[in-house]
Amino acid sequence: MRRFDLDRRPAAKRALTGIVLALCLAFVFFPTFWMVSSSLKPNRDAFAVPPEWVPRRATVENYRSQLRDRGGFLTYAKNGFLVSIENAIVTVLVSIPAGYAFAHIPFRGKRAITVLIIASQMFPGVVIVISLFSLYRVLHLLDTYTGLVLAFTSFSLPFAVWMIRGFFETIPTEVDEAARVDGCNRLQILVRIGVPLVVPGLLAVGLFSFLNSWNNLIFALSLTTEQGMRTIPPGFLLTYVGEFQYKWGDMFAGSVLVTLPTVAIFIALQRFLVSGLVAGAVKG
Amino acid sequence: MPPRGHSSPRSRSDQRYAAAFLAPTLAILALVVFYPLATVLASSLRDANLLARAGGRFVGLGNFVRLLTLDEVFPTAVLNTVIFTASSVVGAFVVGFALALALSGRVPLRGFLRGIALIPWVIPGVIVALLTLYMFNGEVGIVNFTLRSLGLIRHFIPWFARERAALAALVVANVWNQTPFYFLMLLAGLQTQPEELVEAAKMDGAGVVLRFLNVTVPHLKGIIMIITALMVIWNFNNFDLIWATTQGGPVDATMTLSIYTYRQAFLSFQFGYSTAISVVWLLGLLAFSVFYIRVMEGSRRA
Repeated sequence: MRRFDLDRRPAAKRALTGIVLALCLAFVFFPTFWMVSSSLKPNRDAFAVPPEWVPRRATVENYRSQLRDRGGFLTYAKNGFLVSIENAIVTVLVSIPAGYAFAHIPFRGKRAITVLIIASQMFPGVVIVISLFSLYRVLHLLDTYTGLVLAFTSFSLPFAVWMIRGFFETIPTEVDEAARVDGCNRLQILVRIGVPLVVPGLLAVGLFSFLNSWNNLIFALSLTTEQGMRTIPPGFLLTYVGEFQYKWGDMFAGSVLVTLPTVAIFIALQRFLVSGLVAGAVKG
Repeated sequence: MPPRGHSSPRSRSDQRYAAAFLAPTLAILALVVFYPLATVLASSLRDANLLARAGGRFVGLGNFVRLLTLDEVFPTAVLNTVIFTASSVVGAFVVGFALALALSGRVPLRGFLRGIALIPWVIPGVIVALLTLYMFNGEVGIVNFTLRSLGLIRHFIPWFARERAALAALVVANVWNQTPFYFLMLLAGLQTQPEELVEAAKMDGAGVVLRFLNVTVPHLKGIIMIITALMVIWNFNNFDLIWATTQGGPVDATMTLSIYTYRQAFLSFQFGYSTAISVVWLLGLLAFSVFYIRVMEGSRRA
């Protein structure tokens, strides 16, 4: 054991921490750096041998080309934005009453429905989408925003109900009781007292639903066939791993543009999601 | 919970409100989760075609017999899924834990470094895949150049043309993508670790390793178990990274259950057969969950 006891050798300990930290950070950070660096290179320099670590002829031409909608970037972004925002709104509105019911109303069958909601989070997207495709063909929902919004709720809704239930649980039931004495029914309690108290949580869940919809590949790829209906993930996949595989510069400029909002949203949300998940883990 | 059989007017009204509040959620989930699942179960007994309107002939357990006895790709897919899942979870756990430990102490630029460490997790899956294709490119990829200048390889590896190399490249990319999740959760857990315990262990003369094993690990056990369960399920179901890079190739080397199911449904249009694969896959997930819940309950009682 003595050999590992680095406490008595603070310098060695610090050096070891430093090396581990540096290696891990290099591993975690380098690809992001490489994405940004490559997005600033003229396309032929993206093929340079050996690769240029820092672009020698840095340019924003790739970004300009994306914003001029070469390769359909703006179309994909518009579709993705609309579908994701609609999904976020529907998800939050539908999961508010459900989350409240789980947290505050005693009812028969609660356990069974809880299991149902948790289980529905586990089903693989691929399994759902193969049969959703046939259903959508019959219902004429392929290549529609409505179809995508609905399909995205299959993963956003169970998660949202669960998170929102957690936020409502932080409100003591005495608050409900007091409101009932004043003659409020459950709906009035929810709308006038419950919702205003959990607004930050609702915002976090909405943003998270947006993020997951914005990033979703499987449903967006399988349930749309027209190029004009594609969102970012299938749009990029079919453009850059098919038709224009050699356009690395454009591809990474697009990637940076797409990643920026997700990073911004995530930084804003981090605290909520972590506290929710960790609390769940501690409570079991 | 009101006592059974005795329903006061208030509990009846609660029952009605609960039903109304849950109805929209259950209606949507019925349409987009439970109906599709029921279709999958029913179709696994038929030779349905994805593009035909009719549901196909009833073939009993024919699809399953073919899958388990004749299909040569299926065992490969199961094996690859397990290898991909296990190595991704272990890799992301080790790197994420190391980062969390290193960044929980006093380190210059800590806030900034923590922020950076989270980025890979937020990058959309498709972009992770595109980046992987570029960095592991056989001719101009930075990975080959780096390995060669470190003296680890002599000739460039055509990553996506060699069977073992392709799966390894995808695991590395996946570990990169998921490390932040472990990092974030373990860091949050480390911050709730009671200082007194660590100090007490120090007083008893416990070194870094002993303190880690006897104080830190038990404290984080609950979090580790939950996130490992989530990660196993997510990786078992991974689609984006593999589909957007190799689509299961070369020669089925990166074929997993999700990719195989998808190919059977959307490329071969063998809907019935793909649902049979799904059923076996879901049974695997179910078995894992039951086993895992047992282990968790056992460890809590101990």
